[in-house]
Amino acid sequence: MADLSVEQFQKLSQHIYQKLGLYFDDKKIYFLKTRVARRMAALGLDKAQDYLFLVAYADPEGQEMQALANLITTNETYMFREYDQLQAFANHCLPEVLSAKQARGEKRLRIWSAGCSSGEEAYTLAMILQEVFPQAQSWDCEIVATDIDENMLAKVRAGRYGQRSVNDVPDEYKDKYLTGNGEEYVVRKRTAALVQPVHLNLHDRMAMRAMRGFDFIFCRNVLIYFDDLSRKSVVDQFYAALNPGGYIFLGHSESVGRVTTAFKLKRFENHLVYRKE
Amino acid sequence: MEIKKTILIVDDSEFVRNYHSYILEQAHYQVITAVDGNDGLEKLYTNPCDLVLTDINMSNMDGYEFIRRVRAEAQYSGLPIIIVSTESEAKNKMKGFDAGANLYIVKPSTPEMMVENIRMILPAN
Amino acid sequence: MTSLTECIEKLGCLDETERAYAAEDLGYLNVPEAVPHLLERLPRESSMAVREAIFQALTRMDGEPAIEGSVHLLNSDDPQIRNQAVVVLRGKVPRSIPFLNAVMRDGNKDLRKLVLDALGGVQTDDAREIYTAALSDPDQNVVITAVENLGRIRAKEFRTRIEGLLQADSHPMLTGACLEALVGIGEASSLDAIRRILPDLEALPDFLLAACLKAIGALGTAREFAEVGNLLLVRGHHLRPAMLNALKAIYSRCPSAGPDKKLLSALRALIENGDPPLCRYQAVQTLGLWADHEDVSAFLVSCLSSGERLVRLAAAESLCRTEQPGLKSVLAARAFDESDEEVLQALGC
Repeated sequence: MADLSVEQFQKLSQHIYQKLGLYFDDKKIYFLKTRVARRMAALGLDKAQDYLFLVAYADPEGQEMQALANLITTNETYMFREYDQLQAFANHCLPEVLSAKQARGEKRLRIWSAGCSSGEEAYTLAMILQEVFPQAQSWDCEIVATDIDENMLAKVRAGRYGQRSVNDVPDEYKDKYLTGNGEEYVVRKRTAALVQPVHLNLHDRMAMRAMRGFDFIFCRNVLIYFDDLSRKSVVDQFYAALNPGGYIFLGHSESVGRVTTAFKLKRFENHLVYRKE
Repeated sequence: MEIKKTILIVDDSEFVRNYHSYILEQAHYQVITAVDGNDGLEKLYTNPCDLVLTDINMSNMDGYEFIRRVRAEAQYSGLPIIIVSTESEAKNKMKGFDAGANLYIVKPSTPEMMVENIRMILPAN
Repeated sequence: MTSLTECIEKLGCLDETERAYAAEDLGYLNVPEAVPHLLERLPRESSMAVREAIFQALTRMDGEPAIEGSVHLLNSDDPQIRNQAVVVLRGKVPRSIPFLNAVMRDGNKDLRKLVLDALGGVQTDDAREIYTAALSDPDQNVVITAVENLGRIRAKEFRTRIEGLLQADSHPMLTGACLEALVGIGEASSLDAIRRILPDLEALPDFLLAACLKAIGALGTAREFAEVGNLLLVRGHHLRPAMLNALKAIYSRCPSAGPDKKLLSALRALIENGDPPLCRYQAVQTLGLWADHEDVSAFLVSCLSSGERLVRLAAAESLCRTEQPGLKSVLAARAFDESDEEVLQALGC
């Protein structure tokens, strides 16, 4: 096991925060230690100090940071993941945007779930939208779910999920928006109709430029796997894709502010969110 | 139990953050640190602070932009902000005050200088 | 792809998004003729998004004009422009070094400091001339920044120069910077230089003691181990992590530096009553260095029932490293009552 001292842990988590925008607090010391141990074993290093030095000053292409990122992040996707952030969206951001649109006489709402994987996030947003805004049916509402992987998009179209994916769905939502037998759940037609699966490569500049006019963009736990320049390019494209007053959501421990200064930070109760002015 | 005043230190140098942190902790303040203006805003919004010390030259949101965004929020209009910068020319200081800073300290700072200036604005207890 | 002329025109249009796209496209076109237009747009541009797109473009462009242009931006009155230029130039090291050299020779103190910021954290042999000049710079901030950088990149060839900057009358900030730099590049002579000006650890103000503890952790001997151990319960709470780090680091090099009763009892007190939890974790880890001593291992076993998760975790980790007979069954038994996943993992050794 890597003998990562507390000081080294703090230095490393500071560095991870600056490079990936991911925040690891004191409670995560063992978690980080075990992942660092694996990377050190792979690199043949026996001193944690040398690993820290490598990651901070001898990793110009960010390759080691990426290898570490793969170990410290989970790819697991399920509905209502990162509930706190969804609460901020549902209780503050969405009502704010909707009432501004109502005041202007607009009846169109567009949400983008970027890097949607098998669609759990997109359907979560659809459920929240229907719950917070029952008039969604009389508006032109759309949740565009994009991914580079056609197999994933096929899963989105099917809208079928196992128990693991729906564990965190509040019971009343399960009854209203899903049909299921306890083993497998299917998204109900009215909810599924809000979601449009679209093939898109986030690295494709021109295709990204075609994405305009969104009120919310969710790109959670995707950009940590990108190098610095690409991550910045994608977030800059997200800024262009948003309407003024729109919000961007990266993973709850991923900071938008680490990537760009273009968005404005707002606080709703104890949630921090980023908005395009 | 002693309730300490909290100071947010915003500087992109880890060495400078540590240096000022220890000086202020010895002077009985509680300290929170941030690596640049963006991080400073996030820390400020999530932790009640009684005073902010900020550098100017930082990438990913410099000190002036940070101060402007802090002052743009009504709840922080009275928050004491001290600039701690290597830039010493009068025009830099004016810029700092125009952005909304209360005080401007030129680095390199000594412990006495830091504590004296901060105590003028924010007594420790 | 839009042509150069179209992009340059769009750079001045009313639409923020179109201006950002124009800047981005110019970056991808990567032609030197685009650089003056990007530079000229910057001070007039109020949108952060467009400014950032311009800097991204300068980063992408690999010719000398982009470097020269970014160097010119260091003179800007706008700190955002100056500091983003620093980031661009840092990404272009070592090709940017000849240009940075010129600024180091001819620029004012603020520019010289920005040159060092542009080099910050980058490993390169080509900056030797810049650093040599910086260490003799008339401006203290330039010297301090140079020392900081050199320590971070472990530039051992500058060790003697940095030791030489450690004088009794040096500015405290410079002293602190030298101490921290010597953590990475110091040797036995460095410890001598440090102890010459800082013979009495107890008399040091916190900020100097903290930096000194780092250096002592890297370079200290059994003598320093005893000194630091004596300070543990005497100095402020906020220094405890630094002291514990130093003790552990010295012990890893000098295992003969055994603990005395006072230190063991100080560590126990910290574990039982210390704050915050991470400090208690650290104290357990430090005590765990002597887990082969029977009374220490008995105490660590009692820590396995602590209400604080991090204490139980550190105790499990420490006990797993010992070879005391009978411990394996103790750890296995403890696992039955443990609910925390990570502690369980640590108990499983």
